[in-house]
Amino acid sequence: MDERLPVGIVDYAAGNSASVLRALRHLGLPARMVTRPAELVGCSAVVLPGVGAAGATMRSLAESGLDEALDRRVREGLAYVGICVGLQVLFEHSEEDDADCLGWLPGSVRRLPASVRVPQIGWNLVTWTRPPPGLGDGADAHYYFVNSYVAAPAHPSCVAAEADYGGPFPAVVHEDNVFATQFHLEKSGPAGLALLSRLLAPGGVLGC
Amino acid sequence: MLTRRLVACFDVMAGRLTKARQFEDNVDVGDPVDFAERLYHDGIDEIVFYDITASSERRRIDLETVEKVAEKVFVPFTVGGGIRSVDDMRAVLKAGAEKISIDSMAVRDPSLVTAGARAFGSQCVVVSMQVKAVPPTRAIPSGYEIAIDGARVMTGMDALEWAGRAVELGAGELVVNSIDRDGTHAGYDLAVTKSIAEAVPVPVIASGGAGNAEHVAEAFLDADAQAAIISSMLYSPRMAEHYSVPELKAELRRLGPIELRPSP
Repeated sequence: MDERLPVGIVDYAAGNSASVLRALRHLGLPARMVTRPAELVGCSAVVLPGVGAAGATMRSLAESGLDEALDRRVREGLAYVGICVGLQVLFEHSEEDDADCLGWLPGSVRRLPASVRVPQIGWNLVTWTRPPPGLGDGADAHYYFVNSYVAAPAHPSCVAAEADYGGPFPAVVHEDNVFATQFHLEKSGPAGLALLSRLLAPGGVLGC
Repeated sequence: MLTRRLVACFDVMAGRLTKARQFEDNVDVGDPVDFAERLYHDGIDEIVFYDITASSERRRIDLETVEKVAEKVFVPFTVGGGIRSVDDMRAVLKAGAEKISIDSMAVRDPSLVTAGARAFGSQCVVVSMQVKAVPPTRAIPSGYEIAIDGARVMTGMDALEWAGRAVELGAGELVVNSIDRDGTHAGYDLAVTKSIAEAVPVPVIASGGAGNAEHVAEAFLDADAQAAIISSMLYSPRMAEHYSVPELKAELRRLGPIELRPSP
């Protein structure tokens, strides 16, 4: 019997929670799906994956009551890993669907400029500007992005890594127990799996 | 900087990886799950599976193969063939795919593209186009016509017009698949790929005809494709020698200024 606490993965209509679950199992990390607030109890950390739109994600979280539960538990110190839309909903507002979001970080989410092909689809070089302690050497690497929108934080101090697509944008934001990537950790090959492991393994960056 | 992508394409028939020439004469290659896992470890950027007979046989896609691949492959993969509803799309995504490719069904029922984009986002919906060179006419001014059902049925639709329409409907990415070049190892149809890449604001993937690194380099440098679908050069029994992904990327770097994800 595995006595480690499981990582909770928020499972909602438009998310790709099953892919995140497979990646964590591949890494040997216990994990389970979270569909309602009570299921957050007993989790070592929570992952909010996302492939859909910010507005749809926020509506889905509101329907299950997970928006308030996440807000309370993460403010109490529960480690949070956001992926793609899971990064964007951390900010106050998204241009996509004109959606009000969680607002844990000041700032907004904007559409990529018209000078580049949208959506951005593919592997982009991520450069660490402020690697969190415990991330190893914080080596720059390519990760897989699929996004039409990017975060515009009010305070650049939350940006831990950047990538460039029609200009620099936040690839990773990190503040205390909140860590989120614009790229897909679960689909970024060995580099993504290694980062996921460093974040969520016992004694990792988020101290789970 | 965003890199160009090498996308390995698997044509799956009855759970087996096969290779065709101009959409016919499929020969057996092996187990698609083994090949996918091998290419993942070799550094492939992305994989696309077409359940090539699902659409013409009007049956649902082979979800078991999709799930097995998702257990072992941690780069994005797209699944196409036999997807006829938003429920079919949801099943494929739940099974572990990132994107859904719609081809013949997008022509038959364009509202499916829009419904998929609304439900899962445009980035999930790839419209794949089978294009064939024809004499230009008033109905087909670009000189490229759209075919469906494994290149068996011509539609009378202009490829360039359909590309624009597919994006308006909600496609987040387009695959331009040349019927004339499929499996010939003679190079992509650069002209149609380039005219579509210039006309649409979404990423465009070149497909059909790649036989060597020069062909892939041309797709990136001359036709401005964001990604290139390759298959024969990786595993076709009809080719004497195959490339590994690191060999192909090294060769591409020699051929021109092409940004690529470094090999493992």
